[in-house]
Amino acid sequence: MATYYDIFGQKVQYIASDPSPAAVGQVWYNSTSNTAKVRGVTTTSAWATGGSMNDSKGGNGAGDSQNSAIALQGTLGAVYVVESYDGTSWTNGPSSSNNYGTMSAGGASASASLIGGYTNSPFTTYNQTEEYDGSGFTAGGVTNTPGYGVNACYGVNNSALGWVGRAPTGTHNEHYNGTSWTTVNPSPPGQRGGFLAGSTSSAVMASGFVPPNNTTVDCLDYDGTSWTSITGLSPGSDGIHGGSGGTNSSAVLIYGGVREPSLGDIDKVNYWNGSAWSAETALPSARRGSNGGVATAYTQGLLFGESPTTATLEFQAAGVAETRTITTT
Amino acid sequence: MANYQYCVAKNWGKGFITHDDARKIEFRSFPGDVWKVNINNQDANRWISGVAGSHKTLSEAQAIVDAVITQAQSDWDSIPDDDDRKNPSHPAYESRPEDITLEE
Repeated sequence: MATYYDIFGQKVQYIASDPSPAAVGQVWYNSTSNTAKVRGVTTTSAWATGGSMNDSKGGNGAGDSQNSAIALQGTLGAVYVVESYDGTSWTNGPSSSNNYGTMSAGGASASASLIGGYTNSPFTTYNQTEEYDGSGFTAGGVTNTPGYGVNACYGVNNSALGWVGRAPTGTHNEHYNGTSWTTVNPSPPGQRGGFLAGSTSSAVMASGFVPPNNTTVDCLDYDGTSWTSITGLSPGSDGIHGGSGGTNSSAVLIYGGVREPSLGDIDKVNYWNGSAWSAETALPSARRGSNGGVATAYTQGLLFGESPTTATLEFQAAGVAETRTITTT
Repeated sequence: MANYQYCVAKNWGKGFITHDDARKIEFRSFPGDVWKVNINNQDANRWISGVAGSHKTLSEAQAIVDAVITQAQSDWDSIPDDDDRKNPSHPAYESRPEDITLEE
């Protein structure tokens, strides 16, 4: 029978601390913790719980990674304190100047924007931008058309944001360069409520619905200029108010959502690799309106917010190297 | 024969369910901090113990979920019909919470 040395070309190391870096397949014995360990690769995706938010928020988030994200906005009349996540816990920060309903948010943890929103009595939509630099808010450019929308923003930072605000048409598309907004090619007519992820030159709009019967529609790919219809999400995944994340159209994760009017919330998770959707491990519970959707690559994502829950979920993809303790069971 | 067991456990956040847990155990959460996991499964049993979960029978778990849903439905029913939360075309629209039936 072949030995470990025959297979890997090394003996099992007896060392006081875990090697760094460790190669996939490498086995060692940690003499400090008295445990045998191996560097393996995950075979399925999985959701773990992350730190709970200080307040539940329905709205939007932005971020750079699973260890660096912000929740920017609450529902109308709710909490408007920004919260930042460091991979373990959420910390309250400053408040935004405006507290409109369903303001859109996007960008990075230290370069994000809050856009638009609405108020009631009478129903009014807004076109302001508030920029967040990681420590405070300042006024930014004004959109050409007022609107609002959960996960209606795409782009990686305040110098390169896109926004498909709902109201009046739900297809109005604008780009932001950090100073001013420019109206660009609108998304196809009739599509509303889709959630976006990606950059201003490579994005995806997932799902959406067409009122009054809330008919769901195909997803769309956006190359910065043109919109192209792509296949829809897997059955039962099409809805609105889901989470979305990704920095380009080849690595987009779509989380949860709700199927209106009475089809219930969604627990399904879909991954777009640039050419096809695949189903990922479902959420532990159905969930709508998720702020989160922070995903810089397929390997990790973060889902948070939506009243009344404060729970955070952390996505880990298949194929990720990780160190495991060898046990005998 | 039952495929699942139920417990009540409060999600404290980071570490409550790890990625490793999630790959070994089939998790499902319900209102009232009710969790459904595999039955006759050492990993699931260890997880319940590790999070100080309180074991519940199917009927006990169903009663907890029903109580939360019933209250949520009552709260929704008490919203005036002309409220934005009952207007499907308004961004604040909320659908009526639906009954949940736990499986054995």
